[in-house]
Amino acid sequence: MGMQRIDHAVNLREMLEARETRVSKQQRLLRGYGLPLLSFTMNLAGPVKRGRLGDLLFWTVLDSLRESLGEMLVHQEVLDASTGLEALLVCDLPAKALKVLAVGLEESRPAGRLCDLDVLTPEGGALSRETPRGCLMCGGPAKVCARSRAHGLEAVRAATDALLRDFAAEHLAASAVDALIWEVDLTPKPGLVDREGPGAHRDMDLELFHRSARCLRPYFQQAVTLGLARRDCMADLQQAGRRAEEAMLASTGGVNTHKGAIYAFGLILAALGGVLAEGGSVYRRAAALAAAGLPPDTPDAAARIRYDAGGARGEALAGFPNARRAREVLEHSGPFAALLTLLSQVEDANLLRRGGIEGLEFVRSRAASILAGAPEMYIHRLWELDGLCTARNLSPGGSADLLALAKLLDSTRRIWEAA
Amino acid sequence: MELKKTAVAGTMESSDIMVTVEPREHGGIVLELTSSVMKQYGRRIEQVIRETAAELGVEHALIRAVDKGALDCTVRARAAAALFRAAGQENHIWEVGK
Repeated sequence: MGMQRIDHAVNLREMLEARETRVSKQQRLLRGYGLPLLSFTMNLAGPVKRGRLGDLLFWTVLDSLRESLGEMLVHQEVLDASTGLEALLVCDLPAKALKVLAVGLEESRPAGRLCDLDVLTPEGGALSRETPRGCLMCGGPAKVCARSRAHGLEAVRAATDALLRDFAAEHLAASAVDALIWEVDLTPKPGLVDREGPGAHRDMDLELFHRSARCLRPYFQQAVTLGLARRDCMADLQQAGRRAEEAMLASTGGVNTHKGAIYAFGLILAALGGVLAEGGSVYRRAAALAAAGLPPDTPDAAARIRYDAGGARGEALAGFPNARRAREVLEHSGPFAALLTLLSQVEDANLLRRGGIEGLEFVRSRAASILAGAPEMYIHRLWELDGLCTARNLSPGGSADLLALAKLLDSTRRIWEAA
Repeated sequence: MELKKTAVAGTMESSDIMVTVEPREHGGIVLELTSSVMKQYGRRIEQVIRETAAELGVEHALIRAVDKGALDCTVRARAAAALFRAAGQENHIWEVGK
């Protein structure tokens, strides 16, 4: 798909024209609506105004803005140009309240320093911050340092890049934790821990999964950072993964809740870091990382070898075909269809370990038959399958990991689709 | 260069400057400047605007400038744009200076 390359240097003339055009648009909107206007631009020094990391920050902040504004957002115009991303939001709330919201968003994360959220009133004035912004480099008055170019472009760009990388790692790690929690909360799931109970597990519950997911956040952050820094980061990633397993076992009292997720999420997050740094396909990057690493040491490894199934590593080496398909189904047909697609197709090593070929085939054929039926019946029939799996001690943990991964891939679409 | 009408260039965004030019018959170049960095850069901004007017052969005008920390290159480009627009030569705005 590939986006048009717009991360090239722009000249002074283009920048000055873009500003005048933006201001005339602002004036048209203020006249037309008679309501306060929020003007959102990025504050990036130097002649290159676009890049994947800056774009990620822009879209993420714009999403939070739109979410906070809700019904109060009356009209929006978003410009996607080489001179920068810009959003003009006409808002039906008092200008002062809008400014409080804007300053709050700018200050909610360190990289908010790189966002300019200006509030314009229908009377034509701009509301300024109560305390002027500090310089990115020295904390002194930003306007003086900017005018004197006190710190040099290279140093400012390096500081900007560091803020953007930290933001990307934190943002993606939060998305990964959210995806794991979303997956375990999805109810019903056959044989798996969900909001209604522990399924075929005697040593696990919902709260255990939540706690385990939350304790993985630093590892997820590290995986993105490793992928941002280097293409050949698999040895470091596996070391970080082993430490994450220890943290998980410590938080669960020795129960393996997320070992499979640690492996698959680590690969995808490092691959997303790589995509943010230099583009390319997230799936190919993840597969290349998997190929460079040792097989994961999971309890299913033995079952996998016994039954010649691909397991988590096979899925990774093939570029996550099941997670990829599940994401598409998730987008178009919802979470239960995605779950059933995985259950009907994945060679789930957890099922093999607990129920052998027979157990695997049982779940696959049941899921395929539910999927072939009416979508209105999915939930009802998944409840039935839940009872059957729990009675037979079957738990499709591999499919659960892939469903969470599909959720992560879906929430990070903007990153890997644009690459 | 002969000025024919009042014209504006620039914006009130940070790192920009808004320059308004009004034609005058006599009285030289009258410059009214407001700047967020007046103390440090007021004189420099005035110098750049006056130089630009001189380069374009403008002898009489009222120039109002509201500066929000624009760099010299931006001050020059905005002043030149406002002067060219005031002369009715919208197309030549960017071909002055460096």
